[in-house]
Amino acid sequence: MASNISTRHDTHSTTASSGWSTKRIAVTALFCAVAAICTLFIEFPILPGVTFLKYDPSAIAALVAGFAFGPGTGSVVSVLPYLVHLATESGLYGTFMAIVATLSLVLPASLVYQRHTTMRGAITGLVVGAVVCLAAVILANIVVTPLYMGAPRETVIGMIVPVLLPFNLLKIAINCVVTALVYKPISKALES
Amino acid sequence: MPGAGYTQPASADAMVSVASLSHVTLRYGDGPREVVALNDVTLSIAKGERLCVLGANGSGKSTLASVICGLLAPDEGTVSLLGREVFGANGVDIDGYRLARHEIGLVFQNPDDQIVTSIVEEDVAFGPENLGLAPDEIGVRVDRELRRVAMQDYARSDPSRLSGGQQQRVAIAGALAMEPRVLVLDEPGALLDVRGRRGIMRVMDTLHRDGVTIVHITHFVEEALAADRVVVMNHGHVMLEGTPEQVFSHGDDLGSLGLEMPFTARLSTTLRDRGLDVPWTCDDDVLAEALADTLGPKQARVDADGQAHEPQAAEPAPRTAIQVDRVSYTYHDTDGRNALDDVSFPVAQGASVAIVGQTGSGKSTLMRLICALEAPDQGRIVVNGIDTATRRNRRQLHGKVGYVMQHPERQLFAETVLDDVSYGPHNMGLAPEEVRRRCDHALALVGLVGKEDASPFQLSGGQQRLCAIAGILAMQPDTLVLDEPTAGLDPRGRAQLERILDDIHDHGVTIVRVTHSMNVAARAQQVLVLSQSRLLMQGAPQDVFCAANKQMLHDAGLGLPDALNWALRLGLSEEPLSMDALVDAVMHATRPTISKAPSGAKGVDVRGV
Amino acid sequence: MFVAFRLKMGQYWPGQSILHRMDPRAKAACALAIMVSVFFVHSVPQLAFAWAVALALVALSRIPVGKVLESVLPVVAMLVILAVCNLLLVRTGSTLVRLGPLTITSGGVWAAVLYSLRLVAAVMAAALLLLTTTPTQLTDAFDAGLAPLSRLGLPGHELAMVFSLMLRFIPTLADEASAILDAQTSRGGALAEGSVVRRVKAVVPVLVALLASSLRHANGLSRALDARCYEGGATRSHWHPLHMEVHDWLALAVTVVYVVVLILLG
Ligand SMILES: Nc1ncnc2c1ncn2[C@@H]1O[C@H](COP(=O)(O)OP(=O)(O)OP(=O)(O)O)[C@@H](O)[C@H]1O
Ligand SMILES: Nc1ncnc2c1ncn2[C@@H]1O[C@H](COP(=O)(O)OP(=O)(O)OP(=O)(O)O)[C@@H](O)[C@H]1O
Ligand SMILES: [Mg+2]
Ligand SMILES: [Mg+2]
Repeated sequence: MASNISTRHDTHSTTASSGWSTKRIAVTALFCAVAAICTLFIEFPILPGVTFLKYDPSAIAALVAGFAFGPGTGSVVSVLPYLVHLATESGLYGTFMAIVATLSLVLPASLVYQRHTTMRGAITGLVVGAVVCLAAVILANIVVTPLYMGAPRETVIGMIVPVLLPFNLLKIAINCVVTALVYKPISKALES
Repeated sequence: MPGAGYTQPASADAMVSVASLSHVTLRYGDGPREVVALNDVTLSIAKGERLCVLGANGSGKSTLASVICGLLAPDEGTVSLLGREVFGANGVDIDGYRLARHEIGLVFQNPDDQIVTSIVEEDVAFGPENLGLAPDEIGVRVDRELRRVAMQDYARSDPSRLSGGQQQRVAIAGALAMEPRVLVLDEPGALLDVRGRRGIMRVMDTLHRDGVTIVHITHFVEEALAADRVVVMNHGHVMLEGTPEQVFSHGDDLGSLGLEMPFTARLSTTLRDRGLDVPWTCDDDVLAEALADTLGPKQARVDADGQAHEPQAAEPAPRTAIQVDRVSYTYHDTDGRNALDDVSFPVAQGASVAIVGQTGSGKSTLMRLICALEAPDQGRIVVNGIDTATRRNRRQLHGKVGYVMQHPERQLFAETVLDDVSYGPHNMGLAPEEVRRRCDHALALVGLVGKEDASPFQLSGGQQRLCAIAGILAMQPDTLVLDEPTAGLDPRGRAQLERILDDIHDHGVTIVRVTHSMNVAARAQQVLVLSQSRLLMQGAPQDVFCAANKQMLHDAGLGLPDALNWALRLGLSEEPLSMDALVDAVMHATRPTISKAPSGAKGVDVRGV
Repeated sequence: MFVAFRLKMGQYWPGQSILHRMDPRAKAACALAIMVSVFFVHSVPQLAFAWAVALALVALSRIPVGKVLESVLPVVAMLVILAVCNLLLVRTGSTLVRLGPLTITSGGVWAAVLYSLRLVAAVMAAALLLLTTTPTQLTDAFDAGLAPLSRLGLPGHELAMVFSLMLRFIPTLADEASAILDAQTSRGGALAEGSVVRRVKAVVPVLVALLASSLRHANGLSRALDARCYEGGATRSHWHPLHMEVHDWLALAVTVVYVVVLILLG
């Protein structure tokens, strides 16, 4: 998929093919906007009741971008949208965490898929991405969270099993499942 | 040096044709899904001419525009832009294309996509910046062009807050700021209301006078009359070419090309068919004079009150389907400005209602409230006896009231057409076979049988629209609410959709629709006129569209149906609202003996849409 | 989920204050420095100093305090969570309260106060940046920030362009998203309620429609970029080119001093 779309870009082209094509810039920007919108209002509490553990589908836009247009575009879509947040709810901390979580899922997944653009490739990609993502998120928490809380590292490490692991597992699972559901119809729109 | 190309007297003088295509062919896709968008097109555009391109949806107009603008290189043929061959035997001439693009501007259908920054004046500066011009030069151009399109007062505002018409004018200013020698406009008015479209046409007139070559692509045949030359595309071919008069004289062929004749041309044709001795013409002045002679001195107008026509309201009214009662609504984040202000009206069961009003007047807001997507801030709305005040009630109405919103094709989401259409019925919790039955029925209604398993995203623009509408019809609502359903469709598509709606209406469905066309509104049984979020007028078409209201409608950015305008111009005593009624009126005025009294809105004429 | 909604992108507050007139690059650099520096705050004097400077900046910006608080408000939820975590998890100092399993210590209280207050200081700096800088200026700053990338041959200018186009299209797509939700609500779907599964199911159609329409926009947009001769950052000129004034350099210097003093106070 990644390949045949990037070739579509410059059929009938009248521009020198150096750097990013306007087509690529436009698509990337629009996917970033979609991801930003997801983070801004399509978010909802992932566990009914626990209101502050919000899930937002922004990572899915990034995953679709990564699968359809390659790891490069995917990574951009996993980073830029969260910069919009620097001055909203999350501040530096939330922004950093969100970027780590998304990038660590999207980059491996799209790299694998780029090598094997098949259903199996996609699935292995998502699995690899999930594992890397889980590790990255936990690591980031151990390193960064103490900067924001008086609690010592040990406490954070103590929270891995009861809090971090289940929550992030659920999040990653949802991202992968929804991406699978979303990609089929969208791929048709990508072709035409 | 980019931009330097603009003042090259040499090429400017030497050149008679700014763009010439010969035997150009362009294909999209490959293998089974190959589409020949341009098929052996030969076309030459003279310096300073105003060319208008007509054609059905999918006939290749936008592709042609892209080729003329140097955005697409064809597969075969030769293309010369501004006197330099940029595509030919030896392939694509990248530099040539670059220089050409600097001097050929493009404005297209959707203003949203053409505005690239969050501040108007900086958007206009975008092009000049790309040309690498000096800052002060950029400043000069930005001011000049914003003035030219009369947007200077909005220089600092946010484009995404402007109306479609204003956005489109900004887009034009952005193209002009690059001082193009050729300006290509691809359906610039397709998404605008009457006033917005008039604004664009005015800008084009001034540009033409200033010597800019203009290529204007449109679905509104009336707009073609202003052009020096008209080209009609069909399946990638240039079918007809010549002056507007010549092209529109091919009356019968136009239909098969998905077009129609301008109102004036149709009027003169029909009158001649009815044996009246008038010349065939597209020029309303000519026709008006000819008719003035045959009609003799204008009769004193009997002021049209009461007995001329009895409004539907007088008939024993069936039970009301929708009751809107003193409704006001304000969007939460807009500084307290009402989007709807104290609006009240009833809609009878099985009626067909047309809502007209210029952009921002509150039409879509009213639709959202009627469809129970939101409760009014003040007042109440009762649909099918259910008050939309509470969430539970609103939930009940979803599905019973079908909502076809602006650009419904933007809501398509499923993998196949069938999945998309069955989304609604499925959510209603119907049995699978019932769902399937309804989907088949709906698809049959809109003529998409056989497309069940195609992806909605791979249908043509017009088909996507129909698919989205089928998704609503499949829920078999007893009230159907449509928001400008024909926007962006070609005349054939519009006519088809009108037939579908008439059909549904005949099956007793209440139809409420927003439209920008007074001719369409005149065919409804009840007309609502919104102006600045208030209800200006309502009633039967004959009551709303009458000489007495002409000024008030004009002030609201609206007008009268063409037929009525003609009747007034000719000083007829009747006030016809459709082509047939107008013709009857004219015949009546000329030969009273065989007069048939016109019957208000009933003389329906789909071609008149 | 959200109802018909129009997003005001970048809560820019027009003005002529020194902060408004600063070069966006310098301003962004200072803001970032201040935001990061709060991590060094561990003592009362440091906290006092950081807050004094933050408030001074608010005064300098001549922006109504209410406006600034407005943009800090969203953080409150997060602050509360943080404070509670600190109260319960930090077990240093003397024990103040003990309710069954929960113990609240003096250390916990101090941590709750310290970490909340220093976060607010950081957010105020960020808010001031956004309030005194237009989206375009922000993009220019972003562009400048990416200059090193361009020198490494990475598409710095293009990324800046992507960033500004993203800002431009967020309101447009937000309107479209709410239209999509309307459409699906009136077709009896798109109600994110009940179990996680149902919520997730409801998200799929919205996302597909949103992505599909973003692809449509992208087609038009790339056509527009070509038609308006966008050929990458290299050949572009700027209508309002940025240049650092004396006061910008001064501001940078002052910020460095501030950070140093802050650290020394610890
Ligand atoms: N990027 C594309 N890829 C594949 N096919 C395309 C593409 N763009 C257009 N087509 C097809 O080429 C044909 C001509 O399209 P084009 O947009 O030029 O027609 P049009 O006259 O502009 O239609 P409309 O009046 O709806 O704007 C259509 O059949 C369309 O489906
Ligand atoms: N989601 C929204 N948030 C805030 N204001 C809105 C929103 N939607 C519309 N408005 C404002 O409410 C007023 C009425 O808008 P509405 O869309 O109902 O007008 P309209 O008649 O449908 O215009 P058009 O013919 O362009 O569709 C306008 O001033 C518009 O700017
Ligand atoms: Mg077109
Ligand atoms: Mg509307």
